[in-house]
Amino acid sequence: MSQKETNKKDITRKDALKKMGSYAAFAALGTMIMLNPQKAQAVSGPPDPNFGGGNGIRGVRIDRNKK
Amino acid sequence: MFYLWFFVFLTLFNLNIQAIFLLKPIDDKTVLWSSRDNQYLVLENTTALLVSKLSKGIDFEDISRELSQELSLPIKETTDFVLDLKKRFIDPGPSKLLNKPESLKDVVVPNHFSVEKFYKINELVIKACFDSQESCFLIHPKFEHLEIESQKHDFCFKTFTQDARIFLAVDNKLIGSWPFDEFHYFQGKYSMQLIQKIHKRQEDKWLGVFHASAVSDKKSAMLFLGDSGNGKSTSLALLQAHGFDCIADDFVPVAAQSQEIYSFPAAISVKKTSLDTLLPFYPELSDSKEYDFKVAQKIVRYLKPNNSDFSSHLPCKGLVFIKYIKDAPLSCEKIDKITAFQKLVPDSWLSPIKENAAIFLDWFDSLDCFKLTYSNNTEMVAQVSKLFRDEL
Repeated sequence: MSQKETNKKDITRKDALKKMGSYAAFAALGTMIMLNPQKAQAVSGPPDPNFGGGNGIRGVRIDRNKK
Repeated sequence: MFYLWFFVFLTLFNLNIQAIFLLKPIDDKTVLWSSRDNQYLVLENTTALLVSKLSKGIDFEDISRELSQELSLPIKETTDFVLDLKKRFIDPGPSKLLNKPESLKDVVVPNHFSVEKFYKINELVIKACFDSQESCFLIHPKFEHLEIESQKHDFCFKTFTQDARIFLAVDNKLIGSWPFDEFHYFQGKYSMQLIQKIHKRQEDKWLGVFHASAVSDKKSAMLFLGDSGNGKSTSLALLQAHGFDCIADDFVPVAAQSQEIYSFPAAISVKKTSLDTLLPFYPELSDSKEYDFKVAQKIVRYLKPNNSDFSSHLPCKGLVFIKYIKDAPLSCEKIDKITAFQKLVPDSWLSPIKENAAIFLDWFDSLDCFKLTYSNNTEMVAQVSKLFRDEL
């Protein structure tokens, strides 16, 4: 079918709205949310990239409050 | 008619449409679980139905034709869509979970450990050995309140480092190793091994582990969830100062069989920024040791949980997504489950076993989910009391 012939196919306003509704419903079908759980058990806190290097673990215990 | 059939279909098949998929209607969507990647997808109900048909081997052309008629759309459009679903769900590429398991066969557990600690958890004695103060530092602060003098132990946990990896062995059996930058997974596995010993359940008996705080009124428990810094641990400490029990902080295990929340004996981590709030209730915090996690930019002290019965387990009453916002008025409202699901899943370890995934979906669907925003601690405690009494 040529482009010229296609353009001749007018539809009513009602049909156009119906078609729009169909396409909207169709577009919604493709909406999906992917959720990946943690790959293993973990505790909170960002990983420490400096663990094991330099002074080893970078956290330190502060004893100044210990009486 | 189409939708009615869909829900009948789901009911009849009781979640298990096919071996590799589980489908669970939640609110106005369908959650699809795929065993292939232990992945959860929130889909429109119609899309979930199409996937279930494809998984049953129904020809994609028949499915496309039916969808085309249903939506009054050209067959080409619906065929492209169904083929896309087929490619994504039925004929996908190799699974991300099919990574080669790490080989530990050449690793020898050292004989000598420079640091030894003993922890008493209920009647169980755990000996924890570390090859350095640094590796001890990853575990000990949270369990220091359980420390006892050396004695006969039931289990021995050994932590050591080799070739820029940290290793864990339990009773001389190597459990795993992690690169240094993934030490939070080492801590997670250490905690998982501990709960297996404390509650006498292997890993496959757990539904999941949630990054949350668990509080109980002695009859049931609620999980408090939220991003780091939202006030989970602080609210837990405040609630335990007002008659509630601390069941777990940061690492909350839920059993598959009973779907109950189980106790985890780690201390509550209290950030420096929460000290002023908590000192009136816990004067002992002024004297407690302070740990400076430099890279995390977090200075914390540890607060002993008030619940010393670490065998306790209670049914879950609901999920509360909590957030402290300075000067905010108290607000507590029920939130839709799909919103809660999206917040919960990425922050949790969920069992990759099909039966456990099905139980998780049913369990989640049975829970009420709330969003609680507060700035006034007294109001927050009163509101949580109301939630426990079903008085929202």
